[in-house]
Amino acid sequence: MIKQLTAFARELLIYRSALVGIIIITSLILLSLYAVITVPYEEIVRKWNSIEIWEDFPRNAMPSWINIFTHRKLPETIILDSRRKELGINKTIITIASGKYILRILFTFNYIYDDFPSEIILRLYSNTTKQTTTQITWIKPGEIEYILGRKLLRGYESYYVSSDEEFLKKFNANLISKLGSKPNYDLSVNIALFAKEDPSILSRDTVEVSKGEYRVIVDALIGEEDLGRAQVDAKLVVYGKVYGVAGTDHRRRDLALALIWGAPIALAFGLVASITITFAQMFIAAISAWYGKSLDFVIQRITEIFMVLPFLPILLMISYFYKITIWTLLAVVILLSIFGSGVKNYRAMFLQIKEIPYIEAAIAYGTSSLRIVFRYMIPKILPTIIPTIVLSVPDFVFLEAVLALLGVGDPRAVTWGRVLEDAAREAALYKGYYYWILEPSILLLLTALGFALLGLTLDKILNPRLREM
Amino acid sequence: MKTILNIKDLYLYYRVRAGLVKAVDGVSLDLYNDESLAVLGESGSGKSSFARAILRLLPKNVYRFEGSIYIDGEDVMKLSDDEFNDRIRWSKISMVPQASMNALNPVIKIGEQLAEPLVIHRNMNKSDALERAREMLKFVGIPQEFVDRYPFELSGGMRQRVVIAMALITQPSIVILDEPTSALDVLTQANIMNLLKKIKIDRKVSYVFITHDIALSSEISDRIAVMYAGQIVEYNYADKFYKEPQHPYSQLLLSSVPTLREDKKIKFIPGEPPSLLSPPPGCRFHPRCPYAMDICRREEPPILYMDGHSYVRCWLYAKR
Repeated sequence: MIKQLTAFARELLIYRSALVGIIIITSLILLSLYAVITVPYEEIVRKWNSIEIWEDFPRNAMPSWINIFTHRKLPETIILDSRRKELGINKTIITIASGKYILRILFTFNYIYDDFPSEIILRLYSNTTKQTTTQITWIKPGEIEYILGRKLLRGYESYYVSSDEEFLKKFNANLISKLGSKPNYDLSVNIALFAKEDPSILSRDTVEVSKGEYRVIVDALIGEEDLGRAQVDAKLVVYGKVYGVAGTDHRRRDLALALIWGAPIALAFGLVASITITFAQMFIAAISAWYGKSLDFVIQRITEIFMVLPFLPILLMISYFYKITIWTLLAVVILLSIFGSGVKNYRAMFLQIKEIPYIEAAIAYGTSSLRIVFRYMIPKILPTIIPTIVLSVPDFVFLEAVLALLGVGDPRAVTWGRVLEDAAREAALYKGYYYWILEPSILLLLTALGFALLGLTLDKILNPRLREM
Repeated sequence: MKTILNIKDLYLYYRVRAGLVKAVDGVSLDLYNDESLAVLGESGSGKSSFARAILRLLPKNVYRFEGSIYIDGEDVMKLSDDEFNDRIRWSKISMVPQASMNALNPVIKIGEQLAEPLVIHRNMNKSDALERAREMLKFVGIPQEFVDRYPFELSGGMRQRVVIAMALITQPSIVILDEPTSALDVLTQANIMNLLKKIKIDRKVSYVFITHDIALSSEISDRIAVMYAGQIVEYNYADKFYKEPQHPYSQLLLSSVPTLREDKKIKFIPGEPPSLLSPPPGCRFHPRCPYAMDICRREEPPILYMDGHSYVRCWLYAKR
């Protein structure tokens, strides 16, 4: 048995296409194994659909490796959190008068990228219920200082620096007095806080990043009674424009997560659907051909009914009436397909096989019908079935993606199809987020290619009529 | 002597789109214990249908299946299909099917396949059945370790032996051999024939040997039945038959056998075997018969007994 298998593998590997197919499928399987072993799928679904987990991730960021190929380096995300002891974070207490203190948080960071950040958010945390007065100062390279705002802090507050219109007004007025004119475009806070303040800032085409050391100071005024008790903390997030290996989507989620955990789902969906449907069809066809008469009639009429039923509309209808998960979707797909056209094809094959001498001989020595079906008829067509199974896996992987794109099935599921659906809904191509569409598409195509290469080669080997001379 | 197989007025008609195929049309014969019978006939004369009718292996389009068949004194036509399968088929009468080189399932090992009739008909457990299968393989001259081989690893002759072993494993008293050597070369054929002879003596089985090969039929048969268009036209003792065939068809058949040394012109029978769909009226052989008379064209000849059990269906012998 093992000897036969190795001989078969050797024959298979003569074909380079099979080798490529096997490499692709093996890497997908390894990726899937890594995924399901490290974090269970349920946890990924919970993580994928939460909002808090992703709040420090940039929105619609491209993959980081883009920077290798471009001249203009896009910014990475910079996160500075005063609750952590890190370089560039400094927390001090300054006495200004008797009984009055300032808790000063100083963030220092180097900004060396060629593009402006996508967003800036400062989150402030305090543990007192009393109001605390805070003041935020932004210092650009060259000691250009701006007071961003004074906030009355109670508990938690998030300060969306990027949308501070008041600061923008002050900044524009300042520019007019300094350079004599206003910029000819809508200057955003992100640009204002990071641009070089010379005439280049006046035009969108020439505006440049002022590279160097930036400092952000958060001052909180606290009374003597709170000294030692009051905790004021801040987290500065300067969102970049690139993230990770796969980038992020409109909800700041790391696409790599969906792409990795989508692999086991795609493989499981494709393999389970393909194997179950093919074997079920084969079994039904064998029963139909073997018993004949009225059973054959009934099975063939049912098959014809199922063949004319519109597959997609029924699936859509079911998904609108019932809340279905990806696994119930799989079950529905299988149920709708087991009486498919395969039943007709396999029945035609079985009708021929039925007349083979060894089956007549088996009838003669009284072998039971079920044994004839399972041990005599089905093994005879297995060689032609195996390539069919392998070749139809991508059909079902694609089907899952198509259904997700049509909005069928579990909206919380983490699949390649869901990523595509999000991208399509957010008009990713129109907005230029090509990576968002291309990444899941390439994975889908690779899967299809892997199974197609292997399936076609298996077909050549197992159906020798097709073998090349 | 005891009759082991007694068939009277057996009919087997098939319905096809063009009409009725009268494959077996009123066949009667007796076969005694320890005797073997050869059923001779051209292709399409109904001899395979006759074999299948005895074993009740009927296709779905059977139109008429009647007559009486006694196997070992038991009227098997009264049995239901299940009873027949349980008590008669393979227990009392088994078969080496046509094209038997292909009669083995390529995905089941020889041993398991050989043991299958025992598991089905003798309710044996698998290991005992396999043990019997080994003995049987040895008996037909195949090394015992072949139980673990698959059919494709065996030569044609070996596969034929396995199929013969399979027919014998339940120790039936009658074995129907449906052209068992037709696909084999002459040497293998000789080998198999010798095996069959040995089995006949050792195991005391009766053969019903279906063949179109007159030379082979002379090897192991005590009785000859010549089939023509669904009927037995002559039923005779083998030694008498070869010396002095009675029916004109038998005579022509024997003279059409090529001989090795003699420079004899091989005769052939003019015309074609009649269609079983619409056999000619009267005697079915009359269009090809050199002695055809008026009555042959009008009336079907009766069965004319020559002595106790031999008979001929020919008007030539009626007037005597």
